[in-house]
Amino acid sequence: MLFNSIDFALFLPIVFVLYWFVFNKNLKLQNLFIVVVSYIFYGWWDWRFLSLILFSSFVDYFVGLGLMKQENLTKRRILLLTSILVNLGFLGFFKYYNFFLDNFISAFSFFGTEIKANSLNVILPVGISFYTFQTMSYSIDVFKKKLEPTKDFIAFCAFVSFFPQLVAGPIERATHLLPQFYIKRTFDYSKAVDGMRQILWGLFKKIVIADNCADYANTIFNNSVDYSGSTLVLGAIFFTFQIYGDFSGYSDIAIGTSRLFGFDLMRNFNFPYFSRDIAEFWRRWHISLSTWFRDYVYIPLGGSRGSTWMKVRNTFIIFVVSGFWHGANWTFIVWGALNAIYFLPLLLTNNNRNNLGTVAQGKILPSFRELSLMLLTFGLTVFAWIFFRAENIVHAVSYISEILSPSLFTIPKFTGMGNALTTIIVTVIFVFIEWQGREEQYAIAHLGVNWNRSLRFAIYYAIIFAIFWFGGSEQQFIYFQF
Amino acid sequence: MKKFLVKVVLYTLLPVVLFLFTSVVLSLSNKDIAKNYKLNKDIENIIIGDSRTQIFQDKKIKKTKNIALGSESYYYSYYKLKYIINNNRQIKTVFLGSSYHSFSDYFDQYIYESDVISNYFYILPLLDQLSLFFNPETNLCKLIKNSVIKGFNNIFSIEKSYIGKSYIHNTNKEVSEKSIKDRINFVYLNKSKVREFSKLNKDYFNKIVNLCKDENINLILLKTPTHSLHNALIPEKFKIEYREIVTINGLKVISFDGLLNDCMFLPDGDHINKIGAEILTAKLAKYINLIQ
Repeated sequence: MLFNSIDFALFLPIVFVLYWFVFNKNLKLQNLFIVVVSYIFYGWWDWRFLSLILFSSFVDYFVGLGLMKQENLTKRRILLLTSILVNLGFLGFFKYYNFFLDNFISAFSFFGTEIKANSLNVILPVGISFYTFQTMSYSIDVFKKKLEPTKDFIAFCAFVSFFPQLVAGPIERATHLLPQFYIKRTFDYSKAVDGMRQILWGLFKKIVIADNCADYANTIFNNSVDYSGSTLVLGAIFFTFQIYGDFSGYSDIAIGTSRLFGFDLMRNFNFPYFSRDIAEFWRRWHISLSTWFRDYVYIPLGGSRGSTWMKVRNTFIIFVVSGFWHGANWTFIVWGALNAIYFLPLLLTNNNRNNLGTVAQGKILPSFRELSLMLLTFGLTVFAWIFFRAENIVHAVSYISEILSPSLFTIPKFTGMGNALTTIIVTVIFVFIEWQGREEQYAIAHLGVNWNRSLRFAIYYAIIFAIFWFGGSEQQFIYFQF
Repeated sequence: MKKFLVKVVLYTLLPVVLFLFTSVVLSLSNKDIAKNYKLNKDIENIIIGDSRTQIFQDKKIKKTKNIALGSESYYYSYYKLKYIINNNRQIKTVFLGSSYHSFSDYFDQYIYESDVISNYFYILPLLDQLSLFFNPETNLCKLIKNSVIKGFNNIFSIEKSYIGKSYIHNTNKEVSEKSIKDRINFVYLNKSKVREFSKLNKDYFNKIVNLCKDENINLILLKTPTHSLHNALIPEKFKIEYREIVTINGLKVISFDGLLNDCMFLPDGDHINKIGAEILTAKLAKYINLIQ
């Protein structure tokens, strides 16, 4: 069920009340309840895929136990490999089978050999890219002895299937989330209130910003041959805000919902569009995924140590694999490679850790230099998103070619442009709110906290009103397709 | 915990109560307005249907009112017609737009599309309102916003959201093979597979037929023309189904097929332009003059 659906609006309060009033008697009961409702939540999409998550849970649970008992390095490696193969096997089959098959056939036909093979009509299970990575992190951390394997199967299943973050992250580390299932949760008023506030902001980002921008991004991208370069630039910017509102909004709802149940999830977005360079952008965008790749792929490969060639190789591997994680399309690979090209100059000149703090910290406005750097980084990101959004490479190239034509200097014009002005104004206001809250966990974390109650609630009602008044056409969360 | 729950309930209650109160007021008012909606006494003919039927210019047809509305499915046409007939007993004939596309399940998206629902929301029976409100396909935020705006508009404005009027779509486009194929893909295909029939639209079509029979009103179907290429590409099952429904119900059909030059009057192969509309309006006016 979607977070912004009436199903979830009914599901959440029922689960909340049962969790705190009925199933809080002891820890095991609390965890078991989490497992049951998480499976209901996941099964709401398609009950058939429950078998996958259950199987994945079984494999990694027993791999963990096996690693606990086994000291022989070869056997430990075999156990770890089992976990990785099972999880990546599921991912590879459901997500990448047709992609590899099609490219295999294309490659052979390029050399004059025709191969006939049937592509499969495979449905991609929602969230598979997320929970497989989450369970693999458990196996890897147990292998590295960073984490004691758990004997509590219920707690482990709860960790794997925890419903707020099951289908689109944040991809939690076992070292962070699993121990939270070992302690009975007690209700924390301020945590719950903060959670509600974060859910509200997440809904605003998704329904108002993302869904409205999606309408125009889709119109422009789906009919890009009909539009001028300036309109295509606008389309790319709309998509830039769509993907941010959509994904960070989902993460906010996931984190806020978790707090209602006494859990803390890792932060997934840290105002990435205020980054001053690409390295900073990647420290702030989809943090759970980028840190996963950093810790489990980049660092084992040698990271940024070693020769220049090693640095270049590792950087490309990490960004291309990260791009490929998003989907079985060459566009995602190109998007990843493009980000690698952006990142490499910073890495090779040791400038990739220049901007570790928050931009204009403690100040109201950025300096001219900071603003210029943010705009440049934003521009590079928007350009890369074109590949992410395009149907295929040909579409992306033709999109960019038209942008780089003289029609770039015409006034943008597209269907629904009149209504787009409202969306643009609301998005600008949204950017200001995000700017003022850039030093917080999320933009409205402390907005009005010190004001009197009436004023504070007026703000909350204004946000709720904005959600209903300015809400766009309902769109699926983008990251559900990954 | 208690403090949290009390606060959540109290502060959620305020907008919920406000919304419920507004809905009740709007529902009662709109239904009352619909029940008392009077056409001019000389109006004896009603034209009803979707965007294809909106093209008929009622100002040029005597004793006729066009209340067709874009994206209107038979589900909504039925409830609208029920109110109009009940309060305008002088009506003798209903001209209902109907063609091969009418029973394609592509129409279902318009039944649950919030912008469309909001036109009719407050004149629907309570159970239907609740069913649409809680339907997972409905965009709730948009529905609430648009139906409240249109609900108030219906109270204070002469024009009602559910009463359509003569209107021409797609005036400036040029027909092309691509535009025709795009329409076919949109109306009759779903990811390259032939669509199913819309059960809801078929059910409410039958309800309209029965309503007219019960009220002793002459029901005539209006079949607007389509481009010959468009017509050739329509999957056969929709043509067969249409003919069967017409035959089973013993309905009269005024077909405008073949009356218009493809390229000049059918911009997307499926909707008629201004000049084509004038031609068809004249033909319908002539027909009505003959029968009345």
